[in-house]
Amino acid sequence: MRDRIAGTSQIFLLRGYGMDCSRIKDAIYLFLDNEMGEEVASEFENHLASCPSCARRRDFTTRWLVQVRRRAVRLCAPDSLRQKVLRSLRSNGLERLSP
Amino acid sequence: MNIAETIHHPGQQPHRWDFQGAAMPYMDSLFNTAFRMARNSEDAEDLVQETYLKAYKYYDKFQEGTNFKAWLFKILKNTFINSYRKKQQVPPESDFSDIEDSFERLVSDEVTHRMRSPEEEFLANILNEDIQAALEALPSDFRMVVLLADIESFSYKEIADILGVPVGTVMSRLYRGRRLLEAALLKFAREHGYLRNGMPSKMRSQVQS
Repeated sequence: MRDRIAGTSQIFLLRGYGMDCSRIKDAIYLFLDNEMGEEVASEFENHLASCPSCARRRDFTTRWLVQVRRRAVRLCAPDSLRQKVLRSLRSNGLERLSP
Repeated sequence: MNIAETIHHPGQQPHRWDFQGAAMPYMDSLFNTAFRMARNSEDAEDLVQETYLKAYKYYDKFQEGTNFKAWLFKILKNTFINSYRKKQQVPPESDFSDIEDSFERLVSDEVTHRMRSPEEEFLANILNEDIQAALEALPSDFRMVVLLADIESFSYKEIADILGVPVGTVMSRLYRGRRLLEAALLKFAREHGYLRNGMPSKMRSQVQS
């Protein structure tokens, strides 16, 4: 299954099994998530420095993902929920905050 | 559900007397995630309330020095799986065995008379509502990891602990979830007419006229 294959190749990346164009796609996310070991990260950067098409993919992926992270709506809990939760915690024994 | 399972990461160290102070600041994050998973406010509120009650009840099982926010999310996730996912109508999920390579398709759309690259054109035009809709459209397993990673900024290890799956599974779900997200954003871009590649011919003629 593709799911497992993608995961497996990412694990290879974590362990530093070399870097080529076909691996860059998987590696970009690890790099963006700060989950890539230093050794692999430097291999990754070396490859990008000499491969304009992978660099272009990296730039694109970074930029749309940053937009998603920044612009995804963060909902706030309604105040009524806050009150409801506090009430039910108190009726289950939570003591009021001491002054 | 095994709430006693702990998450071995450094974090806050709340004391029993300060459950309120430790836990309440995470309510917005928990509610946001609950809402996006349950897709409606009523269930999201119930999920959050139940999460807080369980967290309070099992607070002595929480290990000091481990990540409290991740612990709360783990309870939320288990509550969602146990009580809400079952009752949700599961829409037929598409076969994702063949996700197209959206990026390759995008860059193949080089048009000589255009001033900007297709990436620039796309990136400059992503709509807020498309971002929300693309997140919403992800199948729930993928939606969950993407929310935990990109909205809540949990590490892979923390996500693995929250979901109770190996780190490799987190990586592959995140990889596929983000590729689906990218594909959805590009699809919306084509539908809205600011990317031409793959646009229905009817829309293309409207753009040209």
